[in-house]
Amino acid sequence: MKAYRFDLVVFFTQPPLAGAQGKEALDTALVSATFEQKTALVFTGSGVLQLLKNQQPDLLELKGIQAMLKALPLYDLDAIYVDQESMERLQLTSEQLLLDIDVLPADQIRQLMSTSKNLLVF
Amino acid sequence: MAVFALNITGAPYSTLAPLSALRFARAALAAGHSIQRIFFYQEGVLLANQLACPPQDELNLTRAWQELANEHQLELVVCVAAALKRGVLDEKEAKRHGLDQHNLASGFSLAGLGQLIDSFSQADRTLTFCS
Repeated sequence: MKAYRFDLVVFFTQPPLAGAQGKEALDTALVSATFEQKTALVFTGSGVLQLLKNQQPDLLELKGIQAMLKALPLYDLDAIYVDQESMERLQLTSEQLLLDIDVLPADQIRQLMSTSKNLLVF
Repeated sequence: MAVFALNITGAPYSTLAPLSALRFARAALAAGHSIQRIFFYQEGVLLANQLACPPQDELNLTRAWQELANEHQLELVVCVAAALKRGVLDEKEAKRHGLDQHNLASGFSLAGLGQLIDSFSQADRTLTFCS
């Protein structure tokens, strides 16, 4: 199994259009990467919905994080994972997501949590 | 002895986050541990609003944090982006945004998220208080 050791793992647990958590999670991850900390993003629960393609938050006068998510590889943030069980519960497939992301089973997410230095849940 | 950092993300009065963190900080300091920094993020930034007036017979959390910080020389750092968005400004930010009023409580300073990331590497453990 691949070894995961991050300085910081940022968890996205909240859906889009439901508050500022997604934006504040993303800001934290971006600043962490800027400070050259090994940073991972994990999308789990309803947070997986942040990754759906073709969202139009502007119709609700909101600003989504999807454009920024698509740009993550430009910021050297390529450790992006999505929880397999959450995907299955929401009946989603990788093709519906706006980034090419590793789908991880629960035991690998647990491993990532136990071997990384800091965790932040949004 | 350990070095802790605290990340407070829950609002005062509507969540227990700033009170739980305060009680943790008091206990940790009393046991001889040290606290590298207290960072306020998300709704937690509202603690730094000096205009909050809880009822007289309730603990004033802003004042309680100021007293603890003063006694132990603790650094109270408020995320500037989260604070501006929620109406917590120091004099400099108020001027920059063309506003007449400012309300950042004394003893608190506005700074970027980098201060939270810095805590992750400086402290042995960073604890988040969210609810």
